[in-house]
Amino acid sequence: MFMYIIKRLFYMALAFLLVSIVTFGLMKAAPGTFLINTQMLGGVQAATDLNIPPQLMNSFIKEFHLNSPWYVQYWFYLKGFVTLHFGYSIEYPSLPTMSLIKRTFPLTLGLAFSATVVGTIVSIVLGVIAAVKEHTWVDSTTMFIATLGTAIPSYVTAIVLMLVFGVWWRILPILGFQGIQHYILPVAALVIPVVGSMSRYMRNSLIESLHSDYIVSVYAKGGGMRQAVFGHALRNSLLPLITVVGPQLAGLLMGTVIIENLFGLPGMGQVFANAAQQKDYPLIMVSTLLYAVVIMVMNLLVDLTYGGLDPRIRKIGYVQGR
Amino acid sequence: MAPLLEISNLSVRFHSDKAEVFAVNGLDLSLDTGKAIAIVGESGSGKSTVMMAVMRLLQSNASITGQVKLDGTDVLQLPEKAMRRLRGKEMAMVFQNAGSSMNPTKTIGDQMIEPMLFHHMASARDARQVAVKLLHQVGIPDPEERLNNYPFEFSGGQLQRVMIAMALIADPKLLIADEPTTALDVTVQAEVLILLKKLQRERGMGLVFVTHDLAVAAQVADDIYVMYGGFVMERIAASELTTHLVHPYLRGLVQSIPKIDGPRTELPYIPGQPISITGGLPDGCVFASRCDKRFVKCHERPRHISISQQHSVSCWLAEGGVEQA
Repeated sequence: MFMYIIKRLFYMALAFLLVSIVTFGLMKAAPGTFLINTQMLGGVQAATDLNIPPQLMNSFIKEFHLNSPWYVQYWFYLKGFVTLHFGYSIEYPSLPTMSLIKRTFPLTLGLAFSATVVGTIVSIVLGVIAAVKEHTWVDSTTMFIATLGTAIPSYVTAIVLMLVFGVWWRILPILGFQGIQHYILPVAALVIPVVGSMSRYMRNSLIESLHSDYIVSVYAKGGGMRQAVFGHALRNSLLPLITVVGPQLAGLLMGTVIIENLFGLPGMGQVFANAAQQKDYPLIMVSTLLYAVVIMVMNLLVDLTYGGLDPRIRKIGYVQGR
Repeated sequence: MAPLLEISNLSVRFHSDKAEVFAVNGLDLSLDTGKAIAIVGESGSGKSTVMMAVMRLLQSNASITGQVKLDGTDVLQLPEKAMRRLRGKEMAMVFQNAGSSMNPTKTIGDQMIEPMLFHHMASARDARQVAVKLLHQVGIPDPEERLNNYPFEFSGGQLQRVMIAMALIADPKLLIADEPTTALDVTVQAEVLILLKKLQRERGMGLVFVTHDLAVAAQVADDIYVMYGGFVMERIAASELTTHLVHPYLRGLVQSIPKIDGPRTELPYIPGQPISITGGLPDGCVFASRCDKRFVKCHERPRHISISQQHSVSCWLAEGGVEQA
């Protein structure tokens, strides 16, 4: 298990490096700069034309190493992020990026985390119900509703939820953030599309487990459906499910960007989207890397759960024939 | 004394969208307490299906008719709940592939004690004590520690021993072993066979041994049932197997066992393919199409004819006591 974690951590570091290089490259390759995008027509020369003092411009260039070669710039971003010296961004020059993140990130993280937990639990419950009632109307109805949830994009779901619970019934708030009840609709909007695919996955995985030889053994020992599902098959069918939870997490976290916008939540998503639009290099780097780290940590947790559930992974690090 | 297991006129059919499969067609079988029988046949002969029908573990697309009496009770008439009380306690099963028949993510201890827990026979703690004793009996060293190991930490032969111990934990009267040694190599196979036979004698259990290997059947069983196409072709005492056999199919099987000594000759075999039991059965003898002794009468289905108390055969050649040496 120890070697397994070390190996995972090593891969994480590698992935982090790749993400940072790709982000940096894409960011630099995209046309336009912060100055152009803020209607300043770009460049030091243009700035002088717009009566920005050269000293200010120069200190600006110096702070963000804009005249240095790309690898120096990259190095400063990377070093800054790893040592948690986020500095200031171009868009919010008076607010340390660290405070900006502290103010907005917990909300986003909370949103993504609760959506993951709720989504996984709901998917498991629906999947188990459908699998146990395989090929009955219960199965087909559950799976039909689940598919519907996936087919409709989350922003449409969000608007329907807002309309039903916020406007017609007036039981849940739809805008802003002043407490836990403000989480309910955004989490629901995030979870519904995910549940569609994950519960289907859970169903198929559980059905497959229920048809394996060791389940026949359970029945041969005098067990019933309950012992077969909860004593044996459920745990084993979680293993493939967990493998797909990882990639779903990335989607969920990115989904928060849209959902935060729709529900007017003051989260990291807006900061992230704005930074990309404004070509705010330092903020793009910091927020992208932060999202990347969150996704990687969640994936690590998923992998550790995997090891916890499957003794073969825990003890020998791999599963034969899989 | 009434037999422990008495099967009469058992038929099993599987229904699928395409066709009906005639897996078992009117089978009679009886097993006395403390005796061992073997069901021998090729793949698809219905030998495993018979025992799965006895345990009532077949899929829902199977329809079973006939009688399966365990200690005088027809288990085919029992509701599922009553059936569950028998499984694992009165009759237990050892499967062919121990590797896939044990849950890979639970310790063998947890899996072994399940029959006792399911039947409320003991607490988990007491059941583990029984499990330790049994593991010791089947020859697993350090049973107390091994109880906490997972199936993948055992070799194939050891795992099969664990399966046998698991089947015996609730002290069943009837043990069904479905090709328990097929997946093992020959030396390990012999050890497991000797172990099974020993345990069966010590405990006075009835043992049904399902196998495709005639030699193995002859070693383990008192009586041998040879199946083909879902019918019993011949029932014969193991001691008379090579000397008194009647059915051409059984003769073919015996002759196709390779011999180690003597001059190397071409191995005799039964020509043709095993009969397809999907869709329907021929009117005559199911083996007729591959039989070298076939004659006009084989267009009719032969009766099962008793030759002696322990010997009966489904072949027209046996009619009127004709015995072809």
